Amino acid sequence: MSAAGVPEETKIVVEYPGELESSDGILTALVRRLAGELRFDSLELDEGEGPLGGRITLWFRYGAKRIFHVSVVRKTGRTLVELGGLDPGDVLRAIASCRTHFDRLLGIEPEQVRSFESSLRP
Amino acid sequence: MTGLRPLWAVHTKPRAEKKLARFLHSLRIGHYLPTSPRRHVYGGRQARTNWSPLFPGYVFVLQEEIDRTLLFRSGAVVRFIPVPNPEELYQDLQSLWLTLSAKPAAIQETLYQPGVPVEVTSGPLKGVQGELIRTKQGGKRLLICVHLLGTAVTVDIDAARVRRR
Repeated sequence: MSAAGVPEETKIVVEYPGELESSDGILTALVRRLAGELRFDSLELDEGEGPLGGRITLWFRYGAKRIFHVSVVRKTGRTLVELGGLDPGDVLRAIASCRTHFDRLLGIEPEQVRSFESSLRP
Repeated sequence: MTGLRPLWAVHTKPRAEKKLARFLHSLRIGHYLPTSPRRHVYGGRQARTNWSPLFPGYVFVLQEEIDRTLLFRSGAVVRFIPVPNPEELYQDLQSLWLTLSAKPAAIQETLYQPGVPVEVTSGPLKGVQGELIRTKQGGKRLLICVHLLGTAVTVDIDAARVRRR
């Protein structure tokens, strides 16, 4: 909880070296996957308009609360995926699902993830 | 629309309505081509508004004496159809014109009545199917109901990304 009484978000930003060719259908399978893990009753798709497509944000809402969001930002030669939400337990499970989804989408193999994580260990 | 009556419905070649309208304009022949704005998003880029003919394939000519041979030279005409009841068609077109003048998105809204099955055809949620609940922001956004794992979820999405199934 922040000083102003607003609950703080659990949030991560994952940077992928590849660039998405098209945004068509990139979140369709993810919504189905997260339907089993998050309790939401509405989705709000916000597509920032810009010459390069800008930022795509999908908000997962339960009642009036935005409980989780996935943002995809297309940069030249890389893709940033921002994942965050309110309840840490639910959010960490959703983040794991999202990472698996975007890894597959952007051609990252599980072996590459394992070798990267082992390289971080002292 | 002025007080002139549509006397000919000119059947045009596909996607040649505006070409014929420009040709008629250059010859100073009275005509009427009702259009409505449609928002399109091209490849995830900025949305653009196109003015599409309301009755694809038809342009209404408002004068009786026309040189048909000259109009065929435009390369856009298929045939000329005389209007049997110009008064009736004039009333219909005038009420349509008044509706469009008052609210440009009116026609698009009537295409999307609540309960209509719809499909997301482009964008990040491409392939999602559901039913329309209602339109928002004068038809620019749609609220659709999608069934996921036995539960109903509402999706708020740009109308340009959605079409009827």
